[in-house]
Parts: sequence; C-alpha cells; structure tokens
Amino acid sequence: MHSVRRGIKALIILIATSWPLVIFIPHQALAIPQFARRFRLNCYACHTIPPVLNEQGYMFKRLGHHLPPALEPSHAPEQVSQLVEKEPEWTLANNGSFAVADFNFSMQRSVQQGQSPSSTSGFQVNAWNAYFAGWIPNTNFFYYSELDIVVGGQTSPDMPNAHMGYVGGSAKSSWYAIVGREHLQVSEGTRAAEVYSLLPNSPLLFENFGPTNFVLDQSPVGAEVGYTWTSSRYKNILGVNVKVTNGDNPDGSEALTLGTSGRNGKDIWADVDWWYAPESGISFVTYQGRKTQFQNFGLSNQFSFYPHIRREGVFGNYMIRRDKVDLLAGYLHGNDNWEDPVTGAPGTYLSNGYFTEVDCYVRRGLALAGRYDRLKQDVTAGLSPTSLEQWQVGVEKAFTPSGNIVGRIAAGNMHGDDPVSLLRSSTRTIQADIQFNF
Amino acid sequence: MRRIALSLFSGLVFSAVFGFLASATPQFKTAGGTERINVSSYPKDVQKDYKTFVDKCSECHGLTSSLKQSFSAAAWTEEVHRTQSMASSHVSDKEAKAILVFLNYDETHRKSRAKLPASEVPSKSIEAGQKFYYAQSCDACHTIGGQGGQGGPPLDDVAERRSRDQLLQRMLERRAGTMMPPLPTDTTDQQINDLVDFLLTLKGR
Repeated sequence: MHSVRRGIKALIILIATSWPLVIFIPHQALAIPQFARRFRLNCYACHTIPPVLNEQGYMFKRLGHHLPPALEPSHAPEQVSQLVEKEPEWTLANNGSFAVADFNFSMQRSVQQGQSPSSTSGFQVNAWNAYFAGWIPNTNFFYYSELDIVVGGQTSPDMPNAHMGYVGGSAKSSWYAIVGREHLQVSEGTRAAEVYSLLPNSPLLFENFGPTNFVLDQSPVGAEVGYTWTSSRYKNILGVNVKVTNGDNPDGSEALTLGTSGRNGKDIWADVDWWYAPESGISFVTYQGRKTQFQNFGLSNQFSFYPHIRREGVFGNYMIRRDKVDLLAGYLHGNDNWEDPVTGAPGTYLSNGYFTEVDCYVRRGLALAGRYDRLKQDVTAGLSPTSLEQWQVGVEKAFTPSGNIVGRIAAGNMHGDDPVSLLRSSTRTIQADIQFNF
Repeated sequence: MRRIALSLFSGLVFSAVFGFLASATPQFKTAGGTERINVSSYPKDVQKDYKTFVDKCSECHGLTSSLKQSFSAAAWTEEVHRTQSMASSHVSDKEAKAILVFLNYDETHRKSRAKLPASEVPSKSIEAGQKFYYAQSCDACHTIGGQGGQGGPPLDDVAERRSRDQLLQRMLERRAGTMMPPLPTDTTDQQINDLVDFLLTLKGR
C-alpha cells in the first residue's frame, strides 16, 4: 500500500514538475479537420493515418483545397471552376479548426563524451494549432493559415503559414500559384518525401543541427507555382512546383520584418513528384539558398559569413499489397560553404543522409513502423568524416472510426560523433503522444 | 510545492479551454460509418460482399447514405465505377463486383420495403386499411396476434417478409385464379394503399 502511494506521489510530481519543461520537438503537421468536416468524410479519405497524406490528400492540396473528382476514361475531366460550383455552402465550421492539439510525454537520456549523463522526462502540451483554410466561394481562390498557439510545450503564438492562392485548369491538368508565408518543408512531395511518416520527424533528415546550424524548419514569405498532371483514375500523378522565398534572418526572424542581421539571399525550393497507384511514389527535391549565417553564435568569438546552402534529395516509397506494407527510403545530399569556427578559414561542409522506413498497416487505424537514418558528415577543417545514426520503432493507433484522435508510442536511439569536435554522444528517447483534431 | 500547484493549475486551465473548444467545434456528421445493417438472413456470399462493402466504403465516408439511398442496378454500377475512378479509392474490379452484388441484393430485399417507413404513413391511412382488412374478411384465412383463420399464412410479420412494392403488386393483381379470393372489382387504389399501409405495420413485434 505504501509503495502504491509512493508511486502515485512520484507520478503526480513527475507530471506536475515536468509541465514547464521545454523539450525540443521538431515542427510537425497535424491533420486539418475542417476539410473532412466540409465533405463529411473520414480523415482516411486523405490520410493513411493522419498526418500522412495519400494520393487524394496530395491532389486535394494541389487543386486548391477542392476534392479531386472521379477521373473516368470515358468522361471529360471537370474544370476547377466546376469543382468550385459543387462546393457545399461556405461556413465557419467548414473553414476553421480551433482545437487541433498534441499532448506529449517524453523521456530522454543523453550521454555526451566527457560529461555526466543527463535524463529528462515530462508531459507537455506539445502543440495546439488553429487552422483557417478553405476556398473563397464562387472563385478559384483558396487560402491557408495556421496559427500555432503552443509549440513544443511553449505558448508562443506564431503563424508559420498564411498564404493565398489561385488554381486553374482541370482535374486532369491543373496549375496553381501561391503568395504569402509558407512553411518550407511541411507535407511536400510524395509519401516518403513528406518526411512526416508514422514516426516523429527525424532530425537527421532535413533538420540538421550540424555545423552550419541550418534548418529547413522555416516559414519565409515568398511565391510558389506548381503544375499537376494526372492520368485516368489517378493511376499516375506528376507534380512539379517551385518556391522562391525571401528566407529567414540568421536569428530566425522573418527577413521582411527585420533588416538588421546582414544580407539575405533568395531561397529556392523545387520539387518533382511522381505518384503511381496505389500510393507509391518518388520525389526529387532540391533547395538552393544563400544567406547570412552565424558561427559560434552567442559566444565572444561569434562571426558571420554568407554561405551557399544546397540540398538535393530523392525519396521514394513502394506500397505493397494496397495499404498493407509501405517501404520508404530516401537520400539527401548537402553541400554548403563553411568557415572554420576557430580560424575562420573557408571550407566546405558535405553531408549524405540516408533514410529507410517500413510502415505496416495492421488494419485501418493501426500501424507499426520502424525507421533507420544515417547521416554522414564531413567538414574541411574536421579530422575525419563522422556519422550519426538513429533508429526508431513505434506504433500508431486511431481511437475513433473517423481517425481524428490518434495516439502514438515510439522509442528511439541516436548516437554518433560531432563532425567538428568529434565528441561522441548518444540520446535515447521514449515518447508517447496523442493528437486531437477537432 | 508552489511549482507543482502552478503546473497543475495551468494544466487544468488548458484542459478546460481545450475541452470547451473541442466540444464547441462541430463534429464529423457522417464520419465513423457507424450505420450498419443486420445481414444474417442474407446468403453467405452476399454477407461476404457486405463485409467488402463495409471495409472499402467506410474508409472514406460513413455508410448511412449508401444504406439508405435507393438506386437502380444501372445507377449503382455507375456509382461504384465512379468511386473506382477517385484518387486513393483502392477498390479493385473484384471488390467493385462484390460491392455491387451486395448493393443490388440489398436494394431488392431490404430497401424497397423500407421506402415508406410506417412512421411516415398517416395514421388515418393505417386505420382505414385495418377497417378494409376486416371488411373484406381477410381474417377469415389469416391470423394477426393469433386471431383469425388458418387458411392462409399468419400476417404478424408480413412487413418483415414483403416489401411495400411486393404487397402492392399482390393486392393490385387481386390474386385472380389463386387460392386468395379476389378483391371487389370496385376497390379503389386508395383502399389498396390503405390496406398495404396497415399490413406494413405488422412487423412481428
């Protein structure tokens, strides 16, 4: 009895004291419930398990938030303006979602060479987002905005997406143009390139916190154009899009609102996707940018430089047996200008990231996943190439038939060497989270 | 201690705010597909086809509209082919065929008799039909609640066994030349409708 009381007390203290802890969790997209509400559909109409998009979700996005119609070989494809006419009545409930939240419990143990191991654990409101997105009645215009109220346990209202677009053409051959603020990375490309597979986003893939301190988790202001072609019955889909943005300042602020942190170049992101039914696909992505970066940020020997930053990658997945087993793989190459943090000597940072994952859909709403990532890094001033490895296993389950409440448990381990200091570190993580999409 | 209290308090406040927002947000009206029908009386093969229908169709939408709407066989075929042509429909030709078999069977065996639910039939019509039933001495051969003759089958659950269309057809033909005596030649359509409305209230409960 005494041990039970002690356990309960420990649990209460654990939950209570960990509330204010800030544990970094990469930006992750949640599902957008008003889209399902608008058409009275389940989340599975557009997601394998939220937030992973399927072909229909991909097409929905590229058709300016209109449901892709049937494409029968014997029928002429509908024009986007016809899709607009078929839309239900515009209502606030059909265009807004105000309670999209993710509650997270995480336990982490980090071991760094030369330092004592440290452990953290805590429950937090990982994300609370509100979405206002939909279409302007009787027009081909659409809009999308995301207000992040809580991110990573911290209440810090931010709007990473706030853009408006126009879509034209037909369901078979369409184009779109977007202007405004847009997150660089969220839900682009085919299933593998979306990054947001069933497991939490891996820092090894895009969010490389390596020597250049460069991440793609940014939401700059810019413009995007895209073209989409589909064959009958959506057996093949080809999508191409290019974004040009103003980039972020090195301190993370928006370039348009603060001009005190040095020069800013333009960011260019291009993406070519090919989907082939059912739900398999391949994506080529590239990012090219130039902007002021800080080295030794916050230290007395801080200095800035103006590197080229380049990323090129190819990602693919193959769905075996219609929504049963999904094999995913990817490769991302980085080639950045680099200056030595001690001498300031110019050099190069090279990285090669490899990513593999297997998602197994036991039944609708229940999936198992395993993932392995490896990032090889090499800097000019480094002594030798180094590598970081990460594996994760997890299970994801939807708690409602519609799929709008999803729980997830994952365990993972990351270990490897820093490419500059060559210090070895490892981090073990166990996390559980539950997403509510209302 | 103060920190713990503060954490718990902020948790409660957040939960209250979130709970309010979640409950105030409109839900998915057809999501879930909780509408199901009892197919235990259907042939085994059709029961399998029903499972295919449930598995495939409820992936994207609730089943309420499909189980309530009534279409001709040609219209159902078009509808299923249209669904096959949607993105991410994942309905193979074999599965489409199974779904069609179920929909068409269900159409002829369940939906047709449910086209006009008893609750929508004016009570006056039922009352008139009941009077007509006894006026024509139908109870001489049929029983309802154990009362009546044994010449014909009991009618306690006739609404479960026959659709409205079937009953109408039977009454309109007046069964000339069969064991059942014909209705008077001056019987009006309204009287037949009333009689059928009354018979459709007999669901064996």
